[in-house]
Amino acid sequence: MRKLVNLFRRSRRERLESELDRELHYHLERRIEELRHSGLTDVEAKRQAAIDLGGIAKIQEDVRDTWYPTWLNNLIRDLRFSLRLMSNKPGFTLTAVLALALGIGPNTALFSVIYAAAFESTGYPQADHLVQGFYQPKSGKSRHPLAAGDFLQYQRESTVFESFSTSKTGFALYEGAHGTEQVRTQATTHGYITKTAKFDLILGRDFLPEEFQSGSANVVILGHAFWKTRFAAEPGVIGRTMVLSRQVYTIIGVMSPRRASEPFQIQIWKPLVFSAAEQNNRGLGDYSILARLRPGTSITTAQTEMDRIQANPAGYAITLQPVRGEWAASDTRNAIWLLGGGVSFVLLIACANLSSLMLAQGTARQREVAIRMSLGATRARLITQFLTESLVVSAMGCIGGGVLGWSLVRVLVAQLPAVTLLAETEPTLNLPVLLFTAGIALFAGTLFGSVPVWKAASLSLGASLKRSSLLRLRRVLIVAECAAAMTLLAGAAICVHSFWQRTTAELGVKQPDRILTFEFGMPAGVQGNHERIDTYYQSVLSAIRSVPGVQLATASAGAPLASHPRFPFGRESDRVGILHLMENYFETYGIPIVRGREFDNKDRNATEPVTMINQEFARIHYPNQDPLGQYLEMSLPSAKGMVPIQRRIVGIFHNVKSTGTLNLIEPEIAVPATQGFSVAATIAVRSSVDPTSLRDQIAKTLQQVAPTVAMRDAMTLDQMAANVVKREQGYAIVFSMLAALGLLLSGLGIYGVMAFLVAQRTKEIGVRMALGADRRQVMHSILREGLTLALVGLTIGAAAAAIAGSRLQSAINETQQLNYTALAAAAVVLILCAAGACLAPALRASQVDPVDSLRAE
Amino acid sequence: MSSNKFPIPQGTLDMLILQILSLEPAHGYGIAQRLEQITRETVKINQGSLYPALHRLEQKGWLKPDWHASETGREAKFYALTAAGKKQLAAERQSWQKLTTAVDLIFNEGQ
Repeated sequence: MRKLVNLFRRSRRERLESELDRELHYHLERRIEELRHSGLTDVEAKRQAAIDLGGIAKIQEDVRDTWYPTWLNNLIRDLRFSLRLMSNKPGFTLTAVLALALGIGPNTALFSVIYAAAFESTGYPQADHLVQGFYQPKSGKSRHPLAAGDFLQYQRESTVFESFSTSKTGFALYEGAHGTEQVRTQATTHGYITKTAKFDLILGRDFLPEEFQSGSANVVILGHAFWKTRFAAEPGVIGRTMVLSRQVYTIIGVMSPRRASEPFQIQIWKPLVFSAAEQNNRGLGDYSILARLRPGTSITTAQTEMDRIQANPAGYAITLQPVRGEWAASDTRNAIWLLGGGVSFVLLIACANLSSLMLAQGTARQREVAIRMSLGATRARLITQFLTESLVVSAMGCIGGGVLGWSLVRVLVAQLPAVTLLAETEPTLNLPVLLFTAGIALFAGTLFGSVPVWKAASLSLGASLKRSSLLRLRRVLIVAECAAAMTLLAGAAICVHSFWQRTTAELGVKQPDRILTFEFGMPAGVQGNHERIDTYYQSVLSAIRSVPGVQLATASAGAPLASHPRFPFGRESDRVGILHLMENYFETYGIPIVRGREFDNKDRNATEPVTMINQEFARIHYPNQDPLGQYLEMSLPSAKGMVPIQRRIVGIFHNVKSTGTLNLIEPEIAVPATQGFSVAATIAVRSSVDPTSLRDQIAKTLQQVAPTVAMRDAMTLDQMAANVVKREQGYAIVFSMLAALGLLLSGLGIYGVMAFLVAQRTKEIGVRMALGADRRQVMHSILREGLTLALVGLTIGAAAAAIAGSRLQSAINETQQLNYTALAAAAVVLILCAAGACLAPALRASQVDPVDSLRAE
Repeated sequence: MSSNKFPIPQGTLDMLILQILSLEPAHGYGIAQRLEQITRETVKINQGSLYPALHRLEQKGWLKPDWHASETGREAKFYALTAAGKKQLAAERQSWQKLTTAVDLIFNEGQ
């Protein structure tokens, strides 16, 4: 090891060299003196001394060999040679390093982000032992939480879990020093925090078993961020009391910091206490299982045991699933894979580029290889040298790629909040990912870098060195590069086009800047009873309507630009948004009824079940038919299992832009809240003035109706739309960056090959010119050659893009129809780029001086 | 003239260098001269091969170099035997004696 360290200490080597020099000179001088004393002339003495000593260069070599082991000496020599070679060919070096850096950097950055989002997003330590459990209808994919009684039976009778728990999130009103605010709470069963989730506490203790008995003292554990912002991170907070929803709680612990990503925005943890009545509830309920398997137990074993317990209601099966893997909403996931695919194409192009450069480099040096072999160099020695050279270039490219990737991660984090927020910690450059991508690039580079040597080395000495097969390989690489670039460009064009469509598409809502929306929940006493819920929201709405300036108000579950409950319908499971509406929904948002009628007061719980659909749903499910009067069968989960209900379609409403990340418009179904099963509460208020000015007044009024509930996420629809666009923009920007990169790299590749061709054929061009070919002809032939390759690649790429594109499009906006404009635009850009790349070499070819070129060899 | 000399047996050059340096530290040229004197010009030593040998022995830690003024007043690189070098010399001398004894035995057998 010390030797290796010394190797890089240039000073040591320099000192050794100069000392050896002085040593040998001293010897020579003394010898010359001695010989002169014995009577030789100066000239003769010098000559004789040199003969006696032998060749100085040889001695120096032999001495140097003693300084380091042979392989190290060879390596040093190869490295020096490579560096000299690289500085002699800055063009080649720069192109290769650039190709590598541009291939590796973005790839590493994007996959680091994806990795963080996809594999580190569970947020739980040792998540591979964690499972979640819920009921699934035997024919269907929807998930339903368990009732307390069912959960308790599974908890009692299962044996394979280290810890078996559940939780329930909710809200509470916190009365702090600066007024009352709504906080997010999670009530957990015993062991949830430290045994199942394995969250650490930085202060205090976990809940004790007796604190889960009803009637025990109220205790809470604070979230780290909450503790920091509300209690100034004071360690003495343990044992103090706080008021939550008018009850006094004692603080017993503080959580360690975790990222405020969606599932972890919990601010306060409480013990989950089941009342005696609740313990007898069976069937579907509010509790999903989170459990930790004993080490060595597989999820299949656990599933078998759970099936055996048979606490499940008829028609439902208990289902265990790993927590890992359920990491993103499907639309975000789609976007992630599209981006991943895109960036892989960039790496592909970069590899093809590098390979082709290396191939060119090697081809140009086949003669050198042949000569050195005939002078006795071993094949192994030559290959080592060539590998060293490509490794030096690659190392520089990898360093460049690493630096680029490191800075790009920041850009991505800013541009792709939907993706990066999934990650538990802020994504940083992922070293394994970097090594992996760099490995692929290095492999390609070194493989193709050594091909020419293998070829040359395996030729019998003196055989003519044919270049044609290697040239063919390079041409294939160029075609592949162009094909990949074309696919990438088409993808980007489709993405950008769809983004442009999205941002310009109408929202489908009248005057969104006049609509204020916010979430408003219900107090504990109201939950679970339809009539009480209905009465509650009616009183909430009439309180809001009493505020001066308010024109209309409505409440719904699901709303424009808000996430809808998804409803499994036909083949397209979880693709249909379902809305539960209270009165005045369409008037408040200003959504036109296209046909039929709206829900009215006569649509009650006891009357005929009715539904409304949007235009998109009608287009997909009732092509060339009149949907009005038809029946839709919807199976709704209820305490008795899935209950099929026939609903008559009474109206069609105008499409409204949805929140889906890549979907412009989604099929939607609406049911009247009076006939629905859930009313969660997105409240919309339309006002004659700027609605944000009414917010405080509305909040104050609502305090009187529901003192334990606070409004959340109050925003105008305009602001919401801007937020959605901002998120979309990220994808379009990143995809465009990838396409630009692909284009740049393939341009570089085409340029490299054409420049090389011209350089190799200088002599031939000279001869042709000497025989009377004019400059334009020469230029044309070069251009034609390059563009032919590009066109072949383009055609293949267009075919690939047509397949990938239609998938991409169906992911983006439902239309399976290919976007030919985008495809054509991509083709034009690629051809222009290829022509540009060929132009310089073609011009150079036309400048060839026949006399010079023939004299050159 | 050179036809009378026989080439130095392989591996013995190191031993001779160690032996010469065991008397006193010397520089490369001095060692070359000493070698010539000692072997009375019967053994052909390529002066050039002396330096790689010296550097190899130095790398092995048997010799310790030191730059100081030589008899001519100019700076020269003097080599001195280290403790390890002394040990090595003793070991080599012993094995050499064993070898020659064995060879002698074989040669004397027939007489």
